[in-house]
Amino acid sequence: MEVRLRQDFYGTKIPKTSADYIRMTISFNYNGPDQTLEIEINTGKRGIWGDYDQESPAYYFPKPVYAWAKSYMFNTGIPLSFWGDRRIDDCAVEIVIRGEGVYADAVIWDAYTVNL
Amino acid sequence: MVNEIVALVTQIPCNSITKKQNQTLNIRVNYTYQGPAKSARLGAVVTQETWPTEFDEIGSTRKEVYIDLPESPTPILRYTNILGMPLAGCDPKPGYGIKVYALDLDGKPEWGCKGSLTVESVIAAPELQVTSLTVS
Repeated sequence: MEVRLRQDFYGTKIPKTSADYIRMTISFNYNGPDQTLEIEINTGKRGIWGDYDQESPAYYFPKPVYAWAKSYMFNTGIPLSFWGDRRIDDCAVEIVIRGEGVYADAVIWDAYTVNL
Repeated sequence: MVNEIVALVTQIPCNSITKKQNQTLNIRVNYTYQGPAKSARLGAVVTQETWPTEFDEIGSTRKEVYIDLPESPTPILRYTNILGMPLAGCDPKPGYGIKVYALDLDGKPEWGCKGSLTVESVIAAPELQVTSLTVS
């Protein structure tokens, strides 16, 4: 069985409110045939066991990739209104990239605080 | 005089072999011949299992070579190389077999092995790695 390990990144706790959007920039390398990848983004917080608890809906974005290019950057934003008036200081963002024959999963911990 | 191949086996470079679709397969056929001088053919073809007891031959991989068999009053061990069996017609997957056979002789001796050949795609598996993730 293939085991895929999630990549971990660490942020700097940018202050946000639930009225804000959070913008993210993803850089990745792809080597393969032309196709359109699906990028899933959601946000949440660190769970009591240190795992990732998704709190927001998942947002999906298409990203075409090409055989002749290797490095890509993708920018987007998602709303934080789902937090309501909750105050959370260790919010995290997860991304999942899926495509034909490829998969990548990464989390940025301590990315932002909300309503503090 | 008896005119037969009394033993026929094939020898591939190892018990299991992996090849890409754009490569060719070379095999060595070992056999024992007893009989008069004669020309015959040795053939080889890649097989795939369709049911637990059924095999298909993949015709595009077939290769036949002519052999000149000298008179052999007693069984003589010989070998023949069959080179350049094309694999382009094979789907990328494991579990292919190889069948070898002789033609133009009494009887139709044949021998096969299964699960000894894996064919890989010529298209490299795509790779993806996230290099950075930042928020603002």
